Amino acid sequence: MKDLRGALDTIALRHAEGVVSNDILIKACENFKAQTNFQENFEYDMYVAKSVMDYINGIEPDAEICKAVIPGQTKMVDGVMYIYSATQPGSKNQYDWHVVKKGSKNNKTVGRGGKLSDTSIQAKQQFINQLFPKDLSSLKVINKSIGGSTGAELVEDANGVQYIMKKASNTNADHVRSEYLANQIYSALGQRTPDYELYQDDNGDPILLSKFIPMTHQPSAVNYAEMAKGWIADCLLANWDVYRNDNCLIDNAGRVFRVDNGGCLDFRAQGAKKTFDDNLKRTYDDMVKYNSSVFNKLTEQDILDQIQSAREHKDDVINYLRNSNQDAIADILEKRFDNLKDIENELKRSIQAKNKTVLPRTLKSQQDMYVDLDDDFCNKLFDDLVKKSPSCPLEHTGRLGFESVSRICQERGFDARPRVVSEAEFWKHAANSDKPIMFRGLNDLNGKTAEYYCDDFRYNDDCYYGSRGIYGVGIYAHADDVNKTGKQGDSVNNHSTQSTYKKTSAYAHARDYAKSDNSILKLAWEDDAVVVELQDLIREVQKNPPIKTKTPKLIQLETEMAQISADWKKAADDLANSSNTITKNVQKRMHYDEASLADMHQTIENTDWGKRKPNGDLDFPEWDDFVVKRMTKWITDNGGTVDIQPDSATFTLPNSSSSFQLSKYSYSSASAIKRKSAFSIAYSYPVKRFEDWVRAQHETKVENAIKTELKNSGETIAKMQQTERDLHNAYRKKKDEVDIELNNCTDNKLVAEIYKQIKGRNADTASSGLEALGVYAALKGYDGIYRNNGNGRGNGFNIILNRSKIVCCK
Amino acid sequence: MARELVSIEVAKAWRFITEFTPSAIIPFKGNFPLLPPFRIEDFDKGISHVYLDECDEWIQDLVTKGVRMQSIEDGFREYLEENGLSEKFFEMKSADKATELVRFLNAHSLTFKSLEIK
Repeated sequence: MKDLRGALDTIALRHAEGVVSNDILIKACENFKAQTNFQENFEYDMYVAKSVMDYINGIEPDAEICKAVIPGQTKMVDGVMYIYSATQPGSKNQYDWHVVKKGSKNNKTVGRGGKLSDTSIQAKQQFINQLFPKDLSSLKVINKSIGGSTGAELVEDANGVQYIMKKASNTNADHVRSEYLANQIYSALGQRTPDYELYQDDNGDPILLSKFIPMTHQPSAVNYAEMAKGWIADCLLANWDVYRNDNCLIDNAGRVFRVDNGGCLDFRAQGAKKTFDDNLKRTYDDMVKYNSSVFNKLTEQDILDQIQSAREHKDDVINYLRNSNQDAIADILEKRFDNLKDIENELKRSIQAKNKTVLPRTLKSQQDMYVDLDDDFCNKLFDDLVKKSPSCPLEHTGRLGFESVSRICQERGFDARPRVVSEAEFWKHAANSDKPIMFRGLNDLNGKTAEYYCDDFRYNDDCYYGSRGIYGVGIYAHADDVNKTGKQGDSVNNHSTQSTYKKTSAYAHARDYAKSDNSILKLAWEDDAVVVELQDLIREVQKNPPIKTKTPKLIQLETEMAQISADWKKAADDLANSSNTITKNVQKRMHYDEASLADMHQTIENTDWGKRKPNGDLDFPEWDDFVVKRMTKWITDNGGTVDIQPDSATFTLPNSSSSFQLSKYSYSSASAIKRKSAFSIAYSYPVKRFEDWVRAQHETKVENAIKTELKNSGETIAKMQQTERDLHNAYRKKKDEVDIELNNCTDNKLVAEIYKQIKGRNADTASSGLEALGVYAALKGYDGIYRNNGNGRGNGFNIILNRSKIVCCK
Repeated sequence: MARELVSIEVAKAWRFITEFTPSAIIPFKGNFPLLPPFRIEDFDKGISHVYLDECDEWIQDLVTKGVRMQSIEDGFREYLEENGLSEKFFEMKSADKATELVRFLNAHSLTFKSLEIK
């Protein structure tokens, strides 16, 4: 391998000298990989990517990464190919990236061509060509630079019809094509533009020709209302500059023409690229901010009408783009159309808030709401989710939270709005309800206010089901179920009133999540709501596996998995305890009493050896108290012996090579008390010597013995680690086999996925990672889940799935 | 600074601490699952508190690691979304996936070491 690498290095050096071509170096790299069985993996790909990105960004190369990348490695970034080679002749150790070649430009087809057949192209050309010249060479230039930011010319045909001509040479080809697209989209959306056509010159570059409209003028304030009629279309196309300069022209009939639309979609007016994504709301907000004089001509209803009209033309726009081979723009625009809903909902909320009326709800019939969702529905949903999140389909989160739950709830009509009532009506309902009322605290988040979220729950047709939830995904609320004695009863309704509810623990806990008292929703269940208790739900899932009959293979695999789990636990515990066990064994063998020694050190330190009586005599502990009682106990606790005589004491420890003698006279004498300096605390010199002796003869010896034993047990620990690893891998493999067999046995993949997550949980203690229960409950038609004593806070949690069964206070 | 609520932090961390492969899009390195199945019951008992700092140290440590992994994955998903790559990413070749991941790490002051969970 060393020889092979040496050869590769030499080729790389020759490449740096210009002797060897890129192709030969690339080939040498491939050969090296093949002959050394080099396996490219994601880690190597990350190193290559990081290395080339650092080169592009001018960052100092990482030495470890430099070594990992193989000379001759290539990488394509943004259409440019790079090759990893020596940096200079004569240097074997320095490598870096070099540009190989630029990629070729994509030939995007716009307007004519693309996916259209020759016949249909001809047919279109026949219609268009009646309005536009066939041959551009017949056009006469009237004005070489008529205005705008891209060098447009005014030209005229033989009949005196005038056109504006824009060429790729004055900006860039994609920009010209994009303007043509924008104009066609405007037309599809019912907005007026001059007639346009796209040509190609002899080099294949586009030329845009548009009909010149005479007798037009730039708009003034009197025209703003007419201009504003294209507001939503302008937002969809991200035409930021439409109301500036002369991008709108007014003819003598007062009609608005949107001209010079080069600043639409993903281009700026001058031809540079700009961000064009699905965030329609951001475009809308920015355009409101910077074009308020135009925007203010619109009422909320006007904008809603424009949104509705735009939606009606959505298919025309998207189909046109796809037929023109513009899938990337089509994808983004399709999402922007979908996201019209964000603007619509905001406007509707604003209208409702202003009118203080509640629009009628649309509810499904009881029969439809609680229909049995069959295996076909579940399997289709599951397959859709797997495409979006292969590893965790149930948790895939869309615009409305967990997509699994939001789609089930949509299907059932659970996402319909709650019944919003006045304060008086709410408390009247609460008094007669057998279920506890609930509080949900909301806060500012992601640029939206708490008040927005409160109204969102009450009035928005879209229902957000949350992106996580430890007891089950859904809409969480604190349940007022703690009675006056402070005890919690299952589902107890304490009939809190308008004057007492703020004193409840449920309200206090909701307040923890809320921005203010005004951002706490007061909620109650409708009388016919069906709410299931969390533990019962877990047991229901566990008792109803989604398989008709467990195969003998599944039973066998589950048994094996349980055994491996038990073995793995033991191995993990043994490993965690191994060093503790060794330490404890040594301490026991050597009679080491940790608590006793800790007491010894603390007592010696905390004793006030310098304390004096009123007459000035020293007042430290007496011989009988300190030496005979305490010091003796410390020594005997640690396996030692003490020989007490009237005037002396001799201490011996089990591992000591010498004993310690202390005379009563030297302990009790005033000269025993010393200080390191005038300001330091006093200490007893003989007691300090005793303490040092215990340290040297006992503690240090035990510590050294532990270190020796741990060192000698290295092999044992390594074996334990290997055992734990093997069992870890065996469990993982067995779990995969169980999951596969379960899938083979089931007709309902969605329920099978839920079952896998819940089956091993203890129904009485499970309190996390139960998101799947929300999906199950919604699937089975439960309106909500109840969890008593949520998070040990005292009061329970309700997880709302059927918003239409909620009574909400205005 | 607001105290972390158990209900929120554990919900964020759960998948990342219990899965053998915590993330399908970020190649975290470590001994996974951080919370093996035979420890889940102990974990459940240990989180019956309001705030995370009331739980035992091993639980706080576990949840903190999980939340960190979740924030990196969320950040990368946002990056893919902003660049119109959310669906295309899964069809990309490994080398191209690596490029996008490196771009994301560079843009967010993260390094390869950030992906090591110890």
